[in-house]
Amino acid sequence: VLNASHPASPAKLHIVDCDVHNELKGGRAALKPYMASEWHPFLDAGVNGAGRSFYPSGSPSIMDAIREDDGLAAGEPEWVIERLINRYKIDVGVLTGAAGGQSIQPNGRYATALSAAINDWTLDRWVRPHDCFKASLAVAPQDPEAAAREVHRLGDDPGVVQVFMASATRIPYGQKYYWPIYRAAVEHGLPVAVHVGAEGVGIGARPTSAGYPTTYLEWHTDMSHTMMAQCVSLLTEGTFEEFPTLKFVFVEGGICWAPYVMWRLDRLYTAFKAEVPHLKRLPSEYIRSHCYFTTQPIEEPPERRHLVEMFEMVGAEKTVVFSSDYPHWDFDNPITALSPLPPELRRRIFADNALELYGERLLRPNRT
Amino acid sequence: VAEARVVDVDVHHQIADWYEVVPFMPAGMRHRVRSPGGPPFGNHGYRKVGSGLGSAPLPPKNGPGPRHSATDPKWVREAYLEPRGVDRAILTGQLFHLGVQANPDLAAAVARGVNDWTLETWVRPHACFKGSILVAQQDPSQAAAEIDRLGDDPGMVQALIGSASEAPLGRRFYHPIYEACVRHGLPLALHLGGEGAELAPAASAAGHPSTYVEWYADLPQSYMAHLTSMVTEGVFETFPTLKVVLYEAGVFWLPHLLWRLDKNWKGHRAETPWVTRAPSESILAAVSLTTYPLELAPKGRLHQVWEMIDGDRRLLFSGNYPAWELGDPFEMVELVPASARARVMADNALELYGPRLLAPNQAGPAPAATPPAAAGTMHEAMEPHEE
Repeated sequence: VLNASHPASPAKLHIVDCDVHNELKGGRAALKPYMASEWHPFLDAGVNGAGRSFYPSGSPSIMDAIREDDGLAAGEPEWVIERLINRYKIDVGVLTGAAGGQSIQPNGRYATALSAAINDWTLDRWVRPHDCFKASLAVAPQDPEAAAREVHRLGDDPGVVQVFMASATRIPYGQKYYWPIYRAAVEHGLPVAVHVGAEGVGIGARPTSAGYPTTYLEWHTDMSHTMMAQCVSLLTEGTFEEFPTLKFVFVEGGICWAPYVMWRLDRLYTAFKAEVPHLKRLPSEYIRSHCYFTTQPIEEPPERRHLVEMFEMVGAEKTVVFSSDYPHWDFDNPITALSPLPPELRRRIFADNALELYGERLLRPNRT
Repeated sequence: VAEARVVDVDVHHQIADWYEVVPFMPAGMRHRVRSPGGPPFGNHGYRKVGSGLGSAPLPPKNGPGPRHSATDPKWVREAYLEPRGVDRAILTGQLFHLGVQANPDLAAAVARGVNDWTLETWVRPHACFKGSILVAQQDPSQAAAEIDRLGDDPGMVQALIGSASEAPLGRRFYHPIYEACVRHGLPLALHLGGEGAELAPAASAAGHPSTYVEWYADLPQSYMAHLTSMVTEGVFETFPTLKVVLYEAGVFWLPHLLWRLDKNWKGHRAETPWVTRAPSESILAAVSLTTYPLELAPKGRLHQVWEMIDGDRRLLFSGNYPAWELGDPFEMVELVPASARARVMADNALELYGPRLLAPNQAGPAPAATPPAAAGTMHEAMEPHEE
């Protein structure tokens, strides 16, 4: 059943929110019905996705979005529809909430099972009952073959719009090790998204190339480094030569660093092509045709026009999609966010680019 | 000279034969340098592959000149500085992985030896060269002592550490280094290049890069981590006069950091109440960047970023001699707005380093070590001495 607000045609699409954090109400125990009994002792033992980080602030929710009944800001789909979807007239929200940590769980087998359970739970509880939500397909990159199987299992489900992993890794995402995941993703026409937040925990590399940050403020600021490094890796390993239709989405890692990656790499490539003969184009060209960036938390320059200039540099009319990060503290309100941008560019970022990224499945009903 | 037309803040002078450095090292550490190639430093595996875009003036192979490009000060002066009109060149060497070697005492001893060798063989005999006080940050107290030892020498214009580091440089642990810099009015230079070596974390936050191209593209991220750390740990509040020079990282990465950090600080400043100024304000007041290598961006884009970071006052010309694979550094600065050219080529450096940049390199306090040993006495010099 379509929501009243759900657009049936691209022309009626106004806002696609590419980062909505639904919460796993009831914690890991909620996944029990979705996991084989052999994994129940793991759930009972409280084996988490990634372990917890020491950085004390965590990612707290917007205070006035917290529901009294359950103390959660995104524990129930109906609540998120009321507080986010209807309030801001969002047509589609891409759910990213319950996944991420599984990417850097030390136990790859458990992470694989956990991913499948999260996916079934998300489809069952959030997506199939509500056409305004779409699911991100969690996979465990610790076992790329198993991750590819998970992509094949659910990749054609109308409720699924992308494959999803944490941006924190022990091995950068461009490397061949991961290519089975990308092969499966392009087979189903799915973009691959990576999301910040797991930096510094689990089996990931240290959260900066200079070691561990001290505070949440520092850690949160540094989180864009994994995004830059993943982007550099994807561009230099020839991943986009191998998979010419692969799209990669960088979620919640900032945008204004992309020109540095593009043009530092172009200089390096021009000088040292001999080392990366598998590349056929300037690295910056791959970014414009394969990479997408979500807006929140958008950098806030003191001069508004500087943001416009940066957006021009990254080709935002094709590469940038809106996200709110509901319900986290640094939520970007779609009414006020990105106000420096000209209306035509806003239109592309809030709706058209997401439609190009995810395709028609963004508008299809979630139940077949 | 009373004024300078061109100041090159980055000449990578090289040690042709480490036995020349040995006599300047503390006696008990001399035996650790066992070959002309130097101590057995732990290093990463990233090496340039391919011929690159440009080529610095280098000595002809099998010719009468030095066998290596930047090992002979007289040759560098005559083949590079004079023809290109460079009046002052700041020496930065090549030891950017010194701060991530496992043995802090050996690292400190090497730094001391290299500093005295640089003064004796490059700086004091040649007015055109200025030195950087190389220190190893594993042991900040020894690093600070080395800055104190040479900090008032007119031949030295800055302290220098590798940005490859076990921990972000804002940590209180490192503050004695900054205290020493401020005590002597010396900027702190950070130079990338040791990332991923020995004690250092992987050279990216996503894990180990595969290629030199990938590795070098990732390197500005360690500057971002260090600056974010220095701001949030209050370095620029504790040492408000400290200046920092970030070498070889380009310019396009800075706006993202300024704007992201300011935004996060507004949201979370309760966590770091000692940070009373907006991070961007502290960074823009303290940090200089170098021109080699400017990103290969359309000129108009560079000029836009230039304005975002107040490039007129921020950029220092760097020649990166003898490695010009990423392009001729003088051609690179043609991307710089014409109105800023004079500032970038000389004035910014003169302001940053002050009168000592042009002061004569008087003979300073004699190095504690014995004079360099002649080749015939090398073995004797290599023996561990009793103090």
